[in-house]
Amino acid sequence: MAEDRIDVVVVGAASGAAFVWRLATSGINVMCLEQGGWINPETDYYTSDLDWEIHRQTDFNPNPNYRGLDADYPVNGNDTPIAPLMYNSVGGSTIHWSAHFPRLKPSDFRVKSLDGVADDWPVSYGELEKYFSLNDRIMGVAGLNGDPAYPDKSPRQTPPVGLGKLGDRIATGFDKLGWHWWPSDSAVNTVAYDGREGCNNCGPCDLGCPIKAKASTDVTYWPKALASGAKLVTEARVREITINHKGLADGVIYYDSNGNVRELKAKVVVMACNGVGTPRLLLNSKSGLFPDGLGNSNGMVGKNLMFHPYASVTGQFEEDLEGHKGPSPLNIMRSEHYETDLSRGFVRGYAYQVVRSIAPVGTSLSGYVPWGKRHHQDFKERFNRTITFAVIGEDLPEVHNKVSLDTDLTDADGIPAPRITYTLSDNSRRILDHGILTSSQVMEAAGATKITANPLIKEAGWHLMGTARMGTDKGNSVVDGHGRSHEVRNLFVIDGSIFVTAGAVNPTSTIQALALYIADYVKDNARHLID
Amino acid sequence: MAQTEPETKTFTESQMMLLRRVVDCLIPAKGDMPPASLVGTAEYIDAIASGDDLTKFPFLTGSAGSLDSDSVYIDRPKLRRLLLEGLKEIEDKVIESTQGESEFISSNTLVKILSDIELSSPVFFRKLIRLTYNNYYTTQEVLRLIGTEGRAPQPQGYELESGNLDLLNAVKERGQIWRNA
Repeated sequence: MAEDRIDVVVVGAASGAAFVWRLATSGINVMCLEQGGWINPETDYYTSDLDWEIHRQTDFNPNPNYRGLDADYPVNGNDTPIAPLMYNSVGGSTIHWSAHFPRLKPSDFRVKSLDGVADDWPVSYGELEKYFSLNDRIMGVAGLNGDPAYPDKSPRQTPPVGLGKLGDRIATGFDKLGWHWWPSDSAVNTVAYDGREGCNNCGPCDLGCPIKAKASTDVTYWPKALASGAKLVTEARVREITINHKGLADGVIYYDSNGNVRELKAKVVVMACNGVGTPRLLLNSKSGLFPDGLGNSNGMVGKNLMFHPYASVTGQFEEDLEGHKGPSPLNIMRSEHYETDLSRGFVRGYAYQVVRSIAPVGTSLSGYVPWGKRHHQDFKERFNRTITFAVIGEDLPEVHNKVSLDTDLTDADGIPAPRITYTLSDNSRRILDHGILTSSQVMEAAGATKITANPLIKEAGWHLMGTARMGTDKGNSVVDGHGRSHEVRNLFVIDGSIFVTAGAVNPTSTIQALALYIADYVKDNARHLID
Repeated sequence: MAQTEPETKTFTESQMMLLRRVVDCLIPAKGDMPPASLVGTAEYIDAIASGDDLTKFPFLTGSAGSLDSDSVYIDRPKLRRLLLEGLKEIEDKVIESTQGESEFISSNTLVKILSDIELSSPVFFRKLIRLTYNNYYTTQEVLRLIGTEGRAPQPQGYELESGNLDLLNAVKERGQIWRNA
């Protein structure tokens, strides 16, 4: 087994990117291992092909079980109504994402103190604010300052994503009801910024951006990190984290691109494999000192899995809304029912994001366009005439929702696959039902002639959180307020696994801010950790 | 000069003739909109069924390992068997209803048969619908006819208005709605 040595090894090149960049700019010797490869935006995306939409069903399906690329591993999702979604490459799920970039709000970090449920984070919005701003500058954020649903933020880098006819139409609905709405932060250049072009409003952000207008970490953080001396090894699938006789992490064992087993020794090990991949790897890193997985003596690794359960409400309108124009996630965000109001019958809340019209294949397969005589009529009434709200509800952490290792299923290298066990709580169900009700009211106010709803979207497990949670109580958390393992003092976690609560907004902005925050901690303590 | 038909891989020529009739029932002609067969849908289905891709995760159970899922293209041999069996079922019903004169079956009768198949063989039927729609709505002619300029989104993209942000004044006037913490 070939062996190399490095100061800091980071496993995972998605949320790992921000961390690696921050360390590399300080001169720390850091290497990242990523099981996927590089995507070439100029050749590897399909939005120039007429059959681009079909790639959503195949090699660009967000579900690894359907996608089955070499870098994918299977996920046993038999016991969850929400399928976990992820993408393995340099950039990870930011290749696939639609670049929604809201921050968690201040109250999201104090759920126990404010609402008497879950736990408080050991870090606050205020402590993260400068890291949010730094991250915004690197990623490039389109938006509009002044949102009354947030504290003041630093100036947005580019103007907000255009509303178009569709956005103007739905805004009238919010306005009639007197409810909050705002152009949400989007990690999309609406004009050229930081050497990347401005968006040309082609539509399918989820299929990757060939002109690099959409921020993904392969085109934002990674070029800067590599220029600062960071090292990145792709097609390197980590099997386990190794420890020394003192119980400290001392490196990783991985399969290189030729399938050879290699060992990399490191003084600090950092996990950035997402809320499914990180617990999977920790659970697979068994030893005499840690028979139940690394850093898992209290049994909390993998527990408290949180998704953002999504419902959707679609309104059909009479006029052609030109819904195929513009980034498909319109990024109007509505926070009217975000904060807790117990009179609604649930604790915590939800947001919803506006989505433009579904593309032609998606419209035909929506379930509302029958075959036969009525096909063309119903298609015409629906295509480019729909607006959809994605209702994003807050999950609370529950110990029985978890990631564990499957006893039979493995990946191509024989590493046990993750198994997801998850049930939607009554509180989350009530949240989504309320969101469907209010969404329908907005649609009606905006003039929708037909309104349909999906009470729970199965293929919506984009946000994977909670499975190596932060906390001050070593009995019910995995890492401390700096992402440092309670039990293994040179092991860090920097992805969504460390979330204590989920909020009701997309987590990427907060994940990256935390990664930068933790990177500064590692930098400031390098003498103890590395030297 | 004799015209040569495109080479088919999974289906025989008589099966292709039936398949063209079937997809034309699923998406018939109307006004300017062509029927599905005229945009090569039967040929597309034949090509997909003839692929050699095998499932990457052969030990998967549950919905993702099942043919009755959104995944069309995993495990082509299994898909091929499903389509052949399904088409055979249609063919048998056509022969039965026409007493062997299958080429004279009326569209109405074929629609009735397909409605029955939709109930009796839902996995096959849903797959057939998906493949038909996938092809139809990714052809240039159809994309142009439904008003999307008949092209892929890139590299041209689209012009998009910034929209009316004046309505946000009322939102601002309400003031802070986030909780201090």
